Amino acid sequence: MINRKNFILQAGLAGTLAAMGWGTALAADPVRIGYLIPLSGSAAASIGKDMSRATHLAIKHINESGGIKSMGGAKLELVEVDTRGDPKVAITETERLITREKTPVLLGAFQSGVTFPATAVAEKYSVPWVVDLAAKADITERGFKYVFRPTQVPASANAESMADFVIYANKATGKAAKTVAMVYENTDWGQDMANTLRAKFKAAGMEIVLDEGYPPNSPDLRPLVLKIKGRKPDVVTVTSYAADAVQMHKLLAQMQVNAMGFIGSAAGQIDSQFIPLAGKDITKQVFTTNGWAGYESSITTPFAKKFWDEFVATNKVEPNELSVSAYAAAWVVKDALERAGKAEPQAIRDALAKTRIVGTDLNKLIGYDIVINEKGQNPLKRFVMQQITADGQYRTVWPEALASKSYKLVWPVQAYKP
Amino acid sequence: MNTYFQALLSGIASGAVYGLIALGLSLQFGVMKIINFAHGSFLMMAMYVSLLACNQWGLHPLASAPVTAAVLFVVGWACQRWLIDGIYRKESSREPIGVLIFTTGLWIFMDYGALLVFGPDSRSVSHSWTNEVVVTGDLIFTYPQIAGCLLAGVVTLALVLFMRHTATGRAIRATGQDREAASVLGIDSQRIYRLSFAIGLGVLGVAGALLLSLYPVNPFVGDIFGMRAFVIVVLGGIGSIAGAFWGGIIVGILESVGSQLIPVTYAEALIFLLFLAVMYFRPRGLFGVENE
Repeated sequence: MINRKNFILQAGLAGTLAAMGWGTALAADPVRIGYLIPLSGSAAASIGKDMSRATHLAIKHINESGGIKSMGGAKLELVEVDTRGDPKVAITETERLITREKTPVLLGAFQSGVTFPATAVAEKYSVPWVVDLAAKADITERGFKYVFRPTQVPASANAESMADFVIYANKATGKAAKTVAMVYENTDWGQDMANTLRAKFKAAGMEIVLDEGYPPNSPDLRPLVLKIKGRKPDVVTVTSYAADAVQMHKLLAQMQVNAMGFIGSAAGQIDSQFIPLAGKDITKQVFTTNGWAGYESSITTPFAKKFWDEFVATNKVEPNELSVSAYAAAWVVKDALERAGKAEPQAIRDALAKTRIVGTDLNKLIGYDIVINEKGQNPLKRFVMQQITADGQYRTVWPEALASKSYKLVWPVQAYKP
Repeated sequence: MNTYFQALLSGIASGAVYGLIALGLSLQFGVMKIINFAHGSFLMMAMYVSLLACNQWGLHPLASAPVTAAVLFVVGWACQRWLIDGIYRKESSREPIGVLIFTTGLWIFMDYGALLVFGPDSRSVSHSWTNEVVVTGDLIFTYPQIAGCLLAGVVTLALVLFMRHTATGRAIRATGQDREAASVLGIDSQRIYRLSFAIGLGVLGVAGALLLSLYPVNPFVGDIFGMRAFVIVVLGGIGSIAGAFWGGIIVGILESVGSQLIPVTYAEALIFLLFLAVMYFRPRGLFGVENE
């Protein structure tokens, strides 16, 4: 039904378009970005969801700010697929995105075990892939030409920070931890982390009293926690995703494993579910590395504030390293598209290889510069150490330069009481 | 030494709950000779029912057990009446392969249905009771562990007594042993099937409520425990109720004490090694009775 008001509106619109010279014909085609992320399949899905929201927010912000100007203001469009955390699904979906959906650039897929094989498919088809968060070193060590990692460094950098922090705490407080128990999920990522931790702790002269991988999503982690307790370690490192991390820290408290510090590795312990599921009594004083220094240090520009406010408003949780990295990775794609000038895989690849984002608002938000090296890696990202407060806040305690002004490191942590 | 003793007792406590999870599966197989692949998904459903009962109505986790059992009993009855019965009847003259395939489909449907309804997040019951511990000397146990162990034992015992000493129990066993002969004696096998499927899921409801205090629920939680239930059923002896209970205890102890001696990943493998050994040397299971 055409009523009067509508008619006038339509006539007016048509007139304006005609005045602009066939505006519709000039509007640029949207650039479609293939986006792979786990949205189901227990362990990693909650992180995947957080990241997906951040990526969608970035696309929205990019489009609102005028899209890709060098392509006539072309809008970005995500073609999102759920990997279910399954490498087989990711491989076939990558193939489909490239051959059927014809997406000229790919983004994702959070987990190392999934990203590693899936990026090989993109390399085969010569389509560029921007890795958002997968930390496995080999992803950028294979001599690939189409795989770029701007917002994550290999797991070794994360693990190095864990060990460096312990060495720092030993010196700074005068209360030295001498023994370590390392537990980690038995996956690519978990073992990568463990290899670096083992070497660093040994080099620091600490004794490793337990070094144990466990199958993720185990029905019962109690036997493992009991084993930790039996070895009486001063420091416990936990490399796990949310579901296991919640179980592990609950059990560490229940079984009253009294170490000087419990240190997580920027995964399960910084998941938005960690504190609500485990409870503040259990998470207080838990340490975790973090690839992002948090609100206090990072939200200093209107650009960052806009991201923070809108993310919190729509998702009811605060952004973390994972969401910030996902958000930034989308902006890196935008930056490359802007310089490529056309939505064509080879041009985008060449632009990505020359990525150099330094000193911008984006850098202030993420806390590091982005300069892609010859391997496709941005080596400039660093990890901080945070401690969870009694009321469930993350406070940066190391390095000193980024440490919170309002919170003081607690080391050793309070013993668990019955 | 204390570590091993604690590991032994913890293993028994976890194992009792594993056994309770496996119990319904064993009962269903014993009576109907069907393998219910959706068993883990029904466990997941039980955990969500218990979660809703606790978080929406403010029930104590233990008090949610009878509610969950009742809901699952009804679900089991309905499932047998309207879904499985029809397929089962068509295949009465041969091995019920169709039911097996049907329950596999049901398993996947239920998991992804739960994903749609509840989302992928893990959730657990927020009750301080789940974290409270009892300390005796060097030994530490949580209330859910103790309650799980005791309740699992009581439910198993009750079911064993029911099967042995009531007319309905005997009718269920008779149907399991020989359906033709049982129907000659005037036993309505359709009703017995519905009842045993419903009892199987009712018991699973209790298990789900107990498990929720120990392990958070997510749509795929059934995969983790369902696999374990199959191992336990085979270990204990397919169709044997007490066998499922003891099978659960054995797996619990093996997992818990084994993990103290060897890496936990190998302890997991050890369970399956025992499973294979039992399949090979004693296919009727450790506590199973010789067929025919």
